[in-house]
Amino acid sequence: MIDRALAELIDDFLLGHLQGDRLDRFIELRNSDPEFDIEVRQSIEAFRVLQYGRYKELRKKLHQIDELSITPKKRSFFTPWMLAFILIIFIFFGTWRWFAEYYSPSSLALRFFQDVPAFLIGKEMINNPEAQKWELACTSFKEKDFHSARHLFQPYANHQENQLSRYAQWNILLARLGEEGPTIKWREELKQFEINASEPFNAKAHKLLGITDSAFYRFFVLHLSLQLSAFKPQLM
Amino acid sequence: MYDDDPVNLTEVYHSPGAYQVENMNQLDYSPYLKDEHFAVAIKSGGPVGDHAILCLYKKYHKEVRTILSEMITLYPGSRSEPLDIVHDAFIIMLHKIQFESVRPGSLKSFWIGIARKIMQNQSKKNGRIILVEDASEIYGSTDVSPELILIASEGNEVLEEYFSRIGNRCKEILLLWTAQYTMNEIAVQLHLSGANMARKIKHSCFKKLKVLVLKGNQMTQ
Repeated sequence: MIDRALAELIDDFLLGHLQGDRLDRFIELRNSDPEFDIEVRQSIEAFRVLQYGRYKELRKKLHQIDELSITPKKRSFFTPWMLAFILIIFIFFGTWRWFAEYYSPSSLALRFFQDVPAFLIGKEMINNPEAQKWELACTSFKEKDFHSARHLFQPYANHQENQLSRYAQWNILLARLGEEGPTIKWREELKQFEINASEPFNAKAHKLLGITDSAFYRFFVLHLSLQLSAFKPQLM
Repeated sequence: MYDDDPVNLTEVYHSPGAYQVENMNQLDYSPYLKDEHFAVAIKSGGPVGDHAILCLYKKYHKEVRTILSEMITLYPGSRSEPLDIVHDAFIIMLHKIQFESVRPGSLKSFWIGIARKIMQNQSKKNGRIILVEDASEIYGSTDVSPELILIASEGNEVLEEYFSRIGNRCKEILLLWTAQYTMNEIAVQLHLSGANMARKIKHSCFKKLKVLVLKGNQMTQ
């Protein structure tokens, strides 16, 4: 049996708490007292078992950390490359869709539509049948009822070379564009109109011909629209 | 005298301190913590030391494992599984910090240095030629005694036998004591009435273990 103070001294030694003078005195005591030395030896051997046990428990925790850290991360379905690809596809189709709409025959027709100045047709006069018919033609045109608009503008176009007839002819050409697209016959008639027309129709006809004759328009709106129109139902 | 009162050693305690590492968030640590902070916490032991040990492992284990996976090919006589060497070296490093008051500059280098020493010893033991120049200038030169490797490695049948025979309650209290928990901390962890009771149980359990080891040694001799 050893007393409590010596037991605590051995504990401190085992736990590595003895340093300097205390350690020296402890070694001295071991050398001078064989019974104490035996007690220390036995304690050291028992403590080795505990250290072994502690490291065994610790190893279990290290394994747990290893397992947690090697758990594969859930891979996101949308990888950055896939997102970029989807974004590019959306941008491409969005741009194409916008151009196709912006340069479609009906959009061109509506943008280039020219209403007649009020004084030319007497819009200020109440219950003027001429003005009412013109208004009806304009409304049909704006509602993309190009076929009706053509017929309603036709009587005005037949007037001989007055300003009103130019407006009507121009709008009839646009109605045909909206209805049939930029056909060869329409293009020829527009060129003819451009030669004979005064401003602003001359400039507008020139600009419209420029758009419909451009390589960009031919490829992006006419050619690509046909290609992608066949592809679009498959995507849907 | 220290051990007059008999103590019930049959009851099994379930220590809340013996927690499982269930997720890595438990081991979050400040990025500003330096190696010396870890070393001080490990040396002091107790709950803080336990937490520091696991945080330290979490911080470096991937890097160390990667380096050792490459290094192990240079030591043909060592065990093929680098993870065992990572664990053994880590435990020996803790032992040296805790019980031998070693204060390394870089814990990662120290850890790798110990692992290198273990691989070197295994290669020499197996009579294999070592294919690497001494890298002590990089990872330091650490002496690792065979006795320490015996404690730190798994599968020692004698120690395993003693450890398994001390009973769950004693195992828990003695493991906490070995991990440098104070008697107050042990009392709190094991829901004991106080430090005195913890001290008394610990003393009885340690005595029981000493007797077991003594008898074992006598039988061997």
